Amino acid sequence: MHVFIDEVVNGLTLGSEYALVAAGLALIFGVVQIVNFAHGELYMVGAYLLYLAQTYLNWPYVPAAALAVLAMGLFGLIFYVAVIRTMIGKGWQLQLVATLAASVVLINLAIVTVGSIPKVVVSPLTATILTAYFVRLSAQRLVVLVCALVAFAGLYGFLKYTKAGKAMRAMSQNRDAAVVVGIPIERVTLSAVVTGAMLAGVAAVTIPPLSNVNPTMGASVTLQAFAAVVMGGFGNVTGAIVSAVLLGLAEAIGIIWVPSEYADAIVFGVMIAVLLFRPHGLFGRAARA
Amino acid sequence: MVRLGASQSFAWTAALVAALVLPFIVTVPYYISTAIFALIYVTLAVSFDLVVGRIGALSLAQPVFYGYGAYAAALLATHARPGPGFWIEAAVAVLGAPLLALAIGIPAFRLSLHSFAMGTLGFALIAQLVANNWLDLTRGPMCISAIAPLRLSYPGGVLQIVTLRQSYYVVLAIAVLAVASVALIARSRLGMAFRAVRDDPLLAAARGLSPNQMRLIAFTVSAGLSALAGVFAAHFETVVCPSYLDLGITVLLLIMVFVGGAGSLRGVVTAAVVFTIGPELLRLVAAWRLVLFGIILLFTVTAFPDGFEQLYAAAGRALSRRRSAGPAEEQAWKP
Repeated sequence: MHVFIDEVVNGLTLGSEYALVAAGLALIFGVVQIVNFAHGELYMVGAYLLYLAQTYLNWPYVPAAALAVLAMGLFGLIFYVAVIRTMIGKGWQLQLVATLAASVVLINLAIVTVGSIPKVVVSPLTATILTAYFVRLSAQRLVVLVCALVAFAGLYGFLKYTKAGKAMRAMSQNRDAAVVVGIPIERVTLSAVVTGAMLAGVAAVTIPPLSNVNPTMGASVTLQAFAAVVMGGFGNVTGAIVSAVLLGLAEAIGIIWVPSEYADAIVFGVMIAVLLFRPHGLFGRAARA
Repeated sequence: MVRLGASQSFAWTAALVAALVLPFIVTVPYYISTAIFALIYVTLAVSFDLVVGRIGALSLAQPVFYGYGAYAAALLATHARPGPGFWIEAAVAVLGAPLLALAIGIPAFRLSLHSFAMGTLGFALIAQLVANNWLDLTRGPMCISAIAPLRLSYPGGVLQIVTLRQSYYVVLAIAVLAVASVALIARSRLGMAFRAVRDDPLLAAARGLSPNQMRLIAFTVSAGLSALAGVFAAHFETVVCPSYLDLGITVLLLIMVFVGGAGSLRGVVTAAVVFTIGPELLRLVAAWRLVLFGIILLFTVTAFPDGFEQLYAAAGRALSRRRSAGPAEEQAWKP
């Protein structure tokens, strides 16, 4: 029972990590129909920004994390100008290959500039252990969960009530009609990319204190997040978030029975199984929020 | 049947002749082994293009078949020495890989576009995990090593492929087989069916072509050819590691296909040669090499979506303008 509850907590942490990356992926896909293969690398860049802020600016965890998330917004802008904007309206294969190329560039730039040796980022809460009944967990895990919930609540409010959020939903429902009523496609796409980058930034400043920062940390997260986006039905943000949490739980709980080396296989096995029975994902094509 | 223009068939013949005499002109072993890798990649890229460029399915599972061929050859050659020889290994690879392709393709082709790409990537990752972790079979990251040279039996004897020059001719034969198969398919009715499915699956289905059947044919042929390259590579490199299934290989193949021009045989062959020999000549560190590759790929898909094919087509037009009446060029696909 202890093991099971521990794994559920682990699963929720993993799930939030995947969900924060997957939400941005689904958002960008919904708005411009581009699958951003480099989204996990945004997560990696965010983690390095936190590392730089802690090591070179000597800032404590909370302001350093806030700075890194804001800087991720700026990085999202750069990413939009360099990659996404040039690919709007091109064929989907070219778009996919372009973002894959961007991810290769980012990973290897990190390797040649910072080195492939994992770096440590510290949070004062990592070593704080909370005990409730018979459950013991690192306070940092709680931070991950709370930050993810706050980020999703913010995202929901943003999509539901703000003008930019409504424009994003309009574009993902019917792009042509959105153009007809005068929604500025490029600006809305830009805000989707910036939002996606900042969501990845939230994951990047909360999760690495539990492990480490390295150039390839984004690659596996991209794939898990993709699995979630595909399962949730492409472009469906809520579907992606729910699927991501389910996949995180499946991976963490599955490890109890399956050798841990095959953890990734669980995620992709679940994804392939879901797609076999529901080719448009768990939440189909309808209801995009 | 689409006939080749005189200038194009001349260029292909010239390239083949150059490839045949190359080991007698270039004698530095390092250059010959670079040429061998270039030909391995020609085989892989041309067969990958059959799926990506000619049927329009962006599969990310191509290294699975290359790795399958390599592991099959390595296991056959090391478990019973002196091993069954090239023909049996090739048969296991070329007949087994299409079965694997069916196992991946039948579920994956139920998915469309992006989902197909992700689904195949899922299979690629699972294959990589198996290669890394099924220690009893693959020895995982410790690799299968000390694979004996290729034994090529012919009526009346057995030839051991030991020298670089011998290896070069074997891989040249495999590459020519791959290029010729793809060229023949592209020019046959089957190739026209592929193009119909790629350009408009609904219309193709309405004309009685099953899109998924066509896709599976392209996928299985491509898998067989890649596996054959894997058999050769296993003996040539003498070790087989999980890195045969690396996502890096997929990236390199994508570069070759898209920088060459998807669906353009001459473009893809050129890109495969350029992108294996170029980095060797530049002697770049692996990480910088990938940075450069990524930037080239990004630049190509944003600025020159037809890649080398665009250059060839322009050169062809200039030539035919000079001769006033030129043959129709093979149209590359604009994805």
